[in-house]
Amino acid sequence: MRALIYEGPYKLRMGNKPDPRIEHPDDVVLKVTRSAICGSDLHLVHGLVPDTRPGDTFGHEFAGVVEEVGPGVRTLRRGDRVVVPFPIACGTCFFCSRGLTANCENTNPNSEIACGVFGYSHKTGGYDGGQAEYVRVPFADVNPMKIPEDMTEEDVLFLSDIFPTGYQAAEMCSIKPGETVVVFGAGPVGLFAAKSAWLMGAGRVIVVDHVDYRLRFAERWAQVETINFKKVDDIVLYLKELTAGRGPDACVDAVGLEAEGAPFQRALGVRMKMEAGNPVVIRWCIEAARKGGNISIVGVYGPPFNNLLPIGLAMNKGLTIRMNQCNVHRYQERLLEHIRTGRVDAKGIISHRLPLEDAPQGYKIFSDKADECIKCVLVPGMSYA
Amino acid sequence: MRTEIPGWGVDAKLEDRPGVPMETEPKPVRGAWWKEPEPMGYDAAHLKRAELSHLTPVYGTANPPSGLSGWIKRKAYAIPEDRTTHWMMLLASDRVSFLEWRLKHGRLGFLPLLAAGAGGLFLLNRRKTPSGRVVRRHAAVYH
Repeated sequence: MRALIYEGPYKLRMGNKPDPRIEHPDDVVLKVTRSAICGSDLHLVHGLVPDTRPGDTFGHEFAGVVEEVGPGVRTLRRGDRVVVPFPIACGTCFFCSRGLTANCENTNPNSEIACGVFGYSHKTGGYDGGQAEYVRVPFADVNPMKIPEDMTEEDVLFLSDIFPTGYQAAEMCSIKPGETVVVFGAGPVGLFAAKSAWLMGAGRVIVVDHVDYRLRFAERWAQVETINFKKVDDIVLYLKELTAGRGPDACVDAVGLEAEGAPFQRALGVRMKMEAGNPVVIRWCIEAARKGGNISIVGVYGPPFNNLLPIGLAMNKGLTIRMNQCNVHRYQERLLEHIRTGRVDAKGIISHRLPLEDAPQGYKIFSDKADECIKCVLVPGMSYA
Repeated sequence: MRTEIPGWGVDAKLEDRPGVPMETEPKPVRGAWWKEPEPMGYDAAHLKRAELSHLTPVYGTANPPSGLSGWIKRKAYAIPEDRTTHWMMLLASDRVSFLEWRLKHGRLGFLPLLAAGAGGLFLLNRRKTPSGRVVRRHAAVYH
């Protein structure tokens, strides 16, 4: 089959790989019909995630058609259309059974860092991802969600990761009606976090980034106020001025380890790899949030450690900080209804559709923020004609 | 403004949100019909973290470790994750694996040029000693 192949930092190409096969009785093999490039895939390409091996195939946001079914599978048949959560959950372990499917203990032998994840280094279990013609999906009675007949793959594609992740980010802030929420990052997860804050009744939603076209898109798509942090003297003081001097009730970090801002920390964390990326957004969240406020972190930070975080300030301000990879399974049904009823136009963030063969080009466009790119979707078999 | 925002406040009730409470009463997720998942079986080619006695019931089989980088990874995975050494060794193995990949697939960039240059310089500077040994020309001055 054709698949995206990682060859080392900043080096991707398309190549041939053996077709995936059933390796466990509850596996299925999917024929991929849509596969998105996620902002966290860029951390892999940029060489910031340990044990990412040359020859790996990325992609954890995908939908497809069931091609082959393992002998133990009871709920899926060949030909079913499904969208697949990025965390691979067994469905019955201590964590899965309590709703924490992103913390499943039965799918990743390599690390405590996460459960198994499709196409996200060998620290998340060494699974090939969905930026390919076919992909193996374990625990098929738990993970894939059937796509309703009245909906397309693109309608529900982002139920695989970024919509639930953005929703969980807002939810972890325990937003109460009328509260002010600041979302750092106007990328796809930040956009969905902002939209979700409205669903939870926020009184004011402010998105902070430094890329003007993304901020303009956030204003249009999510009806939010925006701030370009490079155009203000001090983003923390600016946010306090906007909120009667106290600071916002809630702050969301939807950026992660490759943040712009704080050149020293960026040099230390991203260029020199002396710590796990640039944690400046966590610092801004802690410094900006009002006393007793809530912070949620869904941006990805690599191991082993982050320096220069004002934990003492967080303690003295009485902040609540919550974080996790997204327990996608428990959100899909509710968010499907938000899409179906038109409350959230999930596919409206797709700015680029490319053939699977052009996946390396898609990465370049997304990484360079070229051509006003918001979200790239790869379509196997697509031609431009 | 709120009236212009589709769905404003539909999930306002904290207790009705799908992720509240964070931990639910134990129950199987979706169509899980097993109590303990059947294991895929042990495969020595795949690595596990130090504190596990065996692989998890299901794991990824893409791209098992091999070569020198694989040897370093095996050593790294024998060290618990709370030690910085584990991560430093993994980072080192990553760098080695890129070199191995380039060697294997002939994507060596400037490396062959460097090797050819070094070899050429050696040929230009060699001479034979009376005993028949080939040595660097200027090294022979000290004989």
